[in-house]
Amino acid sequence: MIVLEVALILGSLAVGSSLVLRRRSAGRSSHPQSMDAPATLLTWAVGFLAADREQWGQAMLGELEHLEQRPTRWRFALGCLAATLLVPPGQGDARRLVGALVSAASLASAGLVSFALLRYPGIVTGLGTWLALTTFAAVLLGFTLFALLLVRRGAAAGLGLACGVAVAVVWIVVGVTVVNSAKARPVFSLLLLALPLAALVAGGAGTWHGRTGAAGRKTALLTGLVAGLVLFLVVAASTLLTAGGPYDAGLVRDFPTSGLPDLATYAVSDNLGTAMALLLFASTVTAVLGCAAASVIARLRRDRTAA
Amino acid sequence: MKRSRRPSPQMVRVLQALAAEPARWRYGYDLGVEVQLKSGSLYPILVRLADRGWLEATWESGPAGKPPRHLYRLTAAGREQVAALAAVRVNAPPTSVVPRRQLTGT
Repeated sequence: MIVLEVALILGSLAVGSSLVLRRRSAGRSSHPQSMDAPATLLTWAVGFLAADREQWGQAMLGELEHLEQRPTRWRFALGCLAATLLVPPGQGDARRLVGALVSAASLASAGLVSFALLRYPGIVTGLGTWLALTTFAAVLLGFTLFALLLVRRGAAAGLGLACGVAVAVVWIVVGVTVVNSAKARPVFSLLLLALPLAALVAGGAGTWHGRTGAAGRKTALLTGLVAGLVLFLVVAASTLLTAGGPYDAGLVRDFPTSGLPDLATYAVSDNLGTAMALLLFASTVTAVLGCAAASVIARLRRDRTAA
Repeated sequence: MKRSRRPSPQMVRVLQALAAEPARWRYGYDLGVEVQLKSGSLYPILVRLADRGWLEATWESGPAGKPPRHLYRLTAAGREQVAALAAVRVNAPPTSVVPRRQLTGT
């Protein structure tokens, strides 16, 4: 079951990444007659520029084509690769704000985990813990870079942020309600349907706003990242505020065999693990379903326009 | 209104190189060689100059089979900015200058 979940998450991430990293259409100028390695590298790199920086990408490509010496071409292409990352984003204070917020959320997430390690040092039980923490840090860094890339590539920054927060709120409300009330009233389990529904709505909103499936998919991916980060922050913060409480019967039962020094350490460790899993799971589910909705709605709009 | 930060030393070098012949259009690579900046440093500077309205750009059709090239020169606002920078340096009190290691061009 765990293998299946991991495979689902990794597969979804691969699909999502390929959607974002797809090169722009061949309608843009390309230079098939001189596509050596530097030209191929630079053509790929300029695809990461924001839409309103496209002409600078063409400028770099055009300049490269007038350089003859291979070492010179390589140096120029590699320099331009760095330039595509350093070129300031175009108009859009919203993009800068969202980029800053996502970076801050990632830093805050890392800060919460660091605080937990200091407050409850017993969480670290060996090499496995450090490997998990390193993986978590890599995931946070990947989330941040991916979000910055999406914002640069034309994702609706403000809409992605708002939808991400909204999806996270839905997850929290549904989660709390189902956990607290589903046993007494099984009908509340139906609220779980709100989770995929929120993601579908976010993807649809992205397409409606951006008018194309590509824009909708980028916004859906951003929504997923934001939702995952917000969920992690909320769950991790509440865990630390309550020292992992309240301690349910299952927790108390499993603690003696955990090898951890006290119940609070065990509860915090367990809850942080849950928060990390939510970060990945919620963001992946939201992104995949959102992208699917964005594609379907874009297709329906095209068909309606054609009809 | 966009907040405009003080030009970096590298940006000043680019401005001065363009101001030496303000009416002449310059290629990006040639400009980079002249001011000894790699393309990774030069193009973000050119983008910032254009964003500030100090730089204008145009395209030059290339020979058959080659894409057009981008050319750059200062706008009137860019030339004023260079003059203002020169005035600030003339009026500034003398400071000891530690020579910076020169970057090799691309």
